[in-house]
Amino acid sequence: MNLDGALQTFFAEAEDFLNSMEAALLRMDEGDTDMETINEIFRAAHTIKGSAGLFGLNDIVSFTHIVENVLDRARDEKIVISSDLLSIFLPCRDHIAVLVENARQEQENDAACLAQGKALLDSLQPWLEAAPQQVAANVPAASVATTHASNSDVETNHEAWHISVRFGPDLLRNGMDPLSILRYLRTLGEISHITTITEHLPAFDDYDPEQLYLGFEITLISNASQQQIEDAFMFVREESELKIIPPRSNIEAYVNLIKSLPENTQRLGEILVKSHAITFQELEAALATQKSQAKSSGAVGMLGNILIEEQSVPAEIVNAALDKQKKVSEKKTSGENRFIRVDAERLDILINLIGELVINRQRVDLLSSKMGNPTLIEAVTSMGNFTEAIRDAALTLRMVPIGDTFQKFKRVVRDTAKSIGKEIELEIEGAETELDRSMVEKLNDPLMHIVRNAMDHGIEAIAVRQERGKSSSGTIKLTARHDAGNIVIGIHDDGGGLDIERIRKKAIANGILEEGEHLTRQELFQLIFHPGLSTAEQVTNLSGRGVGMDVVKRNIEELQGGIEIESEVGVGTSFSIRLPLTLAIIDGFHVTAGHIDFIVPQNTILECVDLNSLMHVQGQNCVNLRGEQVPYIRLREIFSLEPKDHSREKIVVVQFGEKRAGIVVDELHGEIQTVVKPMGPIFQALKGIGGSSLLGTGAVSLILDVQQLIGFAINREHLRNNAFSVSAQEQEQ
Amino acid sequence: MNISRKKSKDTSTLIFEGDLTIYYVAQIKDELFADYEKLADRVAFDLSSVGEIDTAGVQLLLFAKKFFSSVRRPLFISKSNESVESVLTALDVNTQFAIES
Repeated sequence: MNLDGALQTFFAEAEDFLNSMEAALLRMDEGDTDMETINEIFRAAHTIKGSAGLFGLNDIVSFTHIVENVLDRARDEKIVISSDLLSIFLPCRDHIAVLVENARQEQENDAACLAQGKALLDSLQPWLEAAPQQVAANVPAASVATTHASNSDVETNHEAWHISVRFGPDLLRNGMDPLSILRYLRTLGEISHITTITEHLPAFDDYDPEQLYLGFEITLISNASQQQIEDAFMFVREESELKIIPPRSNIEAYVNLIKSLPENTQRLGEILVKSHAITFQELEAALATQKSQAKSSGAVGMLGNILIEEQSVPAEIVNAALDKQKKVSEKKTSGENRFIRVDAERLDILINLIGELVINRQRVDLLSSKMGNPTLIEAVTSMGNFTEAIRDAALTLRMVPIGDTFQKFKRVVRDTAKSIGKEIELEIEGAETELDRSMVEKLNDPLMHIVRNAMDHGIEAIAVRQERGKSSSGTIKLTARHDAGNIVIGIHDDGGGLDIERIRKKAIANGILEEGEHLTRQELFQLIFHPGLSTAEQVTNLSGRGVGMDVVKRNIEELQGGIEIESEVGVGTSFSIRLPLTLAIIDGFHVTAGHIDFIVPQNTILECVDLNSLMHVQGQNCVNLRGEQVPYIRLREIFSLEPKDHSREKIVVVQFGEKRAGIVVDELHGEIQTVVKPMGPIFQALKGIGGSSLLGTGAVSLILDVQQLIGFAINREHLRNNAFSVSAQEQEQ
Repeated sequence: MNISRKKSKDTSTLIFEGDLTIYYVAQIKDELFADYEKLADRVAFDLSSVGEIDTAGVQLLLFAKKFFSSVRRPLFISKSNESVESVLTALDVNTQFAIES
């Protein structure tokens, strides 16, 4: 096991735990008082502390330890988590995040950072017990599950565990140090006795100083569960031999231990006697009886059963303890084993390969149908189905729910609202909506900017809101939904709205707009994305410097998306961001115009109709589709292609967002899976084409950019026809 | 890490300066046991100038103890400091390096 790997796992896990901790804290802030929520926070802190201890990250351990103590008291219902306490916990969580981040960057925690930690711990003081807490007391006693009688029983009897460990030879080389594990064990209880086993140190020539030859026999007095103790060895478990004997175990357990270890029996016996695990007489007697008995299976396990049979521990205590252990391990399996961390790059490689597979499959398809061998065609067809299934499964690997991204804003909104003296609530809708992970990352900044703007400029100050007859607390709503192969993310606020006249004036003043130039409503709104235009009268430290909104738009366009604004003065503003779900592989519809192959993204297609079967609107490139006027364009026309003889033109009706248009082509070929290859740099400026793809025949096809084509069709109809009312134009624009 | 040797009557003192950690143990091993025949009958380690010590360092000390006793030269720690002492105590090996009378 490589330390780097383990450390990286720790950092990744810590991040997850910190996130769930934050989410849980915010839930409590909203009035959630469920015990499970407190437990969740406690578990997060506890696990971070434990793992940090293993890597010797002592600053994290000592800070988190105190936080955990307070949480533990809340778990035992000795204290109530009030809003005062919550407002300390959140910065505490942040401080842990800072410490973890510093560790990740291998930076020392500077004095300012440590001072901040100290200040936070001081503010936690009122919630700690008056007497200085003992480390061992912090260990979660079998509190909730056990009855009170057995609970006190467990607490009063300090328990001596015997731990026997032989580490793997490469442990030191991998950067782990048994000393840090011992240090962690000390946080669970007291190491009353330790013997360092030096028997395996080799002769001079064989001695490699970087290899670990030492083993340890440890007596630990602790109330911790076996699981907790095992957790101390979590990162070395695979390569180490670890045996843990619970307190008050049957003598047989020790004897079996001795027999299972490679070292000299006599010596091990002495160690155990010395560490008061067993008496000398007991050892002698046990060894003798074992010898006289037929060689039994010698199983070390099932100590619980032995304990009960021997009546040495009341059954209910054992059951309670087992129950708790079971719960812990169930938690672990449900939490840990459900997920595997994979490098995103590996996924990209997989998806690329599957893309190639999809292309090749089409080629095999074509060849097999040419050969006309029915058995072969059948085999190819079924292979094709699997290829499709693999493609879909591979793409979902990269899909993540957007909820995690939204969740982060809860904190941002809460803190920002406080700092600017406004009351703002964040509502989230459609958190389960999934989209490509790479897009999620790129969405963060634009979303953050829009949300901050909404808080700063959108939502009015409390007094103003009351004056306007609104509720004093403003609302920002984040929504996400799937719509025809796209994801639509909305950011709505019920604030003051955008003042269209002010935007116009400002744009004219800044020389962006000519006096008297006519723009549609949407075009005017879009001006706020213009670099160097900020309508805020007062520049705050949040936003209002006029930088950023242009970056927002650019970021979203880079993701092949679009952003629209709707706003009404005094009522609020809505941004909606429309993005494709993934950029890698699409279902396409293969058509030809002239002699060129084109692909229309399947998810944009509403229907395909014979052009001649439709009523044409007189004098326009527009058809009447069941009473609705749909403008259309001819691919042959806009790309200046040679006409094909005797073709009956077809119209493919496509939709993007709320807009529809028809694309007139010569032939329809059918559905096809397409691996999107971006256009080379020379063709990037080409309008109407979004990418290229190889067909099964090896021919190149062009993937249409439906959004641009629709815009083109609609615009042309506007220019041609002024009979449309102005408002209708604006709506379509 | 730097090891200097000092000889007085029946005891050679090896003075360690620097960190006794996994990063240096290979180098220390080479230096420590070079020309050990020239050492006096008793070997003393002066660890008072050791900075950091980890398990690899402790293991090296234990190995040295074993090795020197195999060549009939008892080893003890003549001087140490707090950090060394605390680690040796934590592993309960400090008594193995006590001065033998």
